[in-house]
Amino acid sequence: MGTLMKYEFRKTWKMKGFVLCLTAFFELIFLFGVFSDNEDLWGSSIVGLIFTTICGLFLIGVYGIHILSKDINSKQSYMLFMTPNSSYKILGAKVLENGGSVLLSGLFFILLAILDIMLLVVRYEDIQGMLDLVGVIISGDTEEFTYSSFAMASLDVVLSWVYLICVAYLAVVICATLLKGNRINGLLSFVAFIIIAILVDNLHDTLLGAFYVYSMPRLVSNIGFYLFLSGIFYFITAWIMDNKLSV
Amino acid sequence: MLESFGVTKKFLGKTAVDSISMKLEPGHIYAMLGPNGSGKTTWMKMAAGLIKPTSGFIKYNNESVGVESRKHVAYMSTEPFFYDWMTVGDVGKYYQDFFEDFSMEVYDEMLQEMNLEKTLKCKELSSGMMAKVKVAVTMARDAKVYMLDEPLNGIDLLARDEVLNAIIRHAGEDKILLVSSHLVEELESVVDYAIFISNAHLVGIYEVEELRQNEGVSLADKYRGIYGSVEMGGAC
Amino acid sequence: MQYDSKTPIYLQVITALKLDIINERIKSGEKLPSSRDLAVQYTINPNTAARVYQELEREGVCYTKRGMGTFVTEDMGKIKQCRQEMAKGCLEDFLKQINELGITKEEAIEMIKNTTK
Repeated sequence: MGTLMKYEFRKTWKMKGFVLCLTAFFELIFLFGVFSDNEDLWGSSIVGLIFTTICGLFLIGVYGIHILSKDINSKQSYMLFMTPNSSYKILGAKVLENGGSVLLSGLFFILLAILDIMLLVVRYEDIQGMLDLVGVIISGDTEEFTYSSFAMASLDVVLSWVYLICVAYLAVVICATLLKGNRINGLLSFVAFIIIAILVDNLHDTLLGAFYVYSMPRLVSNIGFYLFLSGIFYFITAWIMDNKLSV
Repeated sequence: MLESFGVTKKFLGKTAVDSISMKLEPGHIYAMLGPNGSGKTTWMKMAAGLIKPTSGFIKYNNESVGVESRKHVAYMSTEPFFYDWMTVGDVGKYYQDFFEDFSMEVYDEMLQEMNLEKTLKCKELSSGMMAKVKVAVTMARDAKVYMLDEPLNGIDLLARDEVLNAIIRHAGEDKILLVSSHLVEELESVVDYAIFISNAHLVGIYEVEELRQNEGVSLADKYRGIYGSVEMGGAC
Repeated sequence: MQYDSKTPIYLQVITALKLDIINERIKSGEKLPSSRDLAVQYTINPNTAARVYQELEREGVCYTKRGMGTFVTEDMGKIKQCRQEMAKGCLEDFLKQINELGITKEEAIEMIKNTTK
């Protein structure tokens, strides 16, 4: 399993390195701006950091989906499937590596954001007013900004992304197996992806809609919900790979 | 021993392999011969545990093939399949990471025999060099069954000799070697037996020396005889 | 090596080896390659190569020293005999072919005598 994950990482490290470099770049500008009291500079670097976070997580996830597609649709599929590893292990390594990467980089970005905000609060005391506003924006709540609710809300977003990646894996595998030979299979699997996502969203609202938006219990149950769903989609996908995939 | 019991594979209604039953024994090199698209690759992939038969089953030493048997069964596909970022050395490391029976020393030796540098990038290899790397890395495993799908496809005479040498050198008493080709002459002197496949069916298994001794014909003659008539039969 | 398509491959390799021994390209008493190396050298199946040595041994052209390998016989008489047999084979083939052309043995002898070189 470790070996499989090592090679999954090897396939994607360039993309991850790129995101990391971009983050380091904006973070340096931010620090420079803060210490040289250049508000314009740190202001625009925050925009850069937010942009990098969103795009970075997106790119890492989408690139992982692209790699799976390549690994089962091209001749490179032999590299994985000739090894004495079951589909469950092969897909498991991918989910853990890609989901793990998104999660870890998500945590990294959350931590970085919190540290940067702390730095701003220490440096500019009047920023607390602005943060309260941010608190209202992210939680739709008049509670003031707290680091823990910020962290939980961010984690919630990251995990829902991990879950979406699992759904995309399922769509890619359906595309490569059940719909193989169909001329519009790419489109069909995208439709399947959207339908699954919407159904799950409805289920989610029915089950958890009772909780107040972004209250702590809601966030915790959300995280559990997404982890559970990721697991379910992982098993369905691996089962299809095991039984229907022709490499 | 590798045994196929009434193995059939259908893809979207098209039958790629139709109830093939046969038995391959250790200590022999088998050629799998037949025109392109006759089902050789599909059978090999099933024997390698890469795809599952629609019906029937394949057993290696009385165990159904699957994830476990891949530890002992080395399969090499016709097409290049290494990752783009790999060098020839990385390919060896990859096999070493995944196969307990892989020997880096044997791989190094074979690369040396074939004049290949470990620093070469897979993406930049010529088709002859690629064919050699694929055979080298596959044969550097101390597997029990080797299945090489069209290893001589599209390579020049010298590379062909080197590939055949590698095959001969690594055949052993406890090993089954199966080599497919749509060109009969290339393999004739190297194999003990030839398995003829046509239109998803098994036509027969022939012993090369026996054909010469008893019928006074070469494998190529036999092939012409059988496939010539098969083609005529198909036209009727 | 090119193999003709009618005779078993092992017999063709045996002929080639005998020729080498008679011409002293392989000396009497010399060690022969292992059967695997022989297989590589002639691009033949390893089982065929093993059979080649079995046959040569049976005919007394070679012998095996346990753990040392296969060697060419040191019995020069044996090699001479081998040469006679091959020559006989050649002659038989020749006569058969010349016969098919409707040439008698006596005419053939005359023709050989008149052939310069």
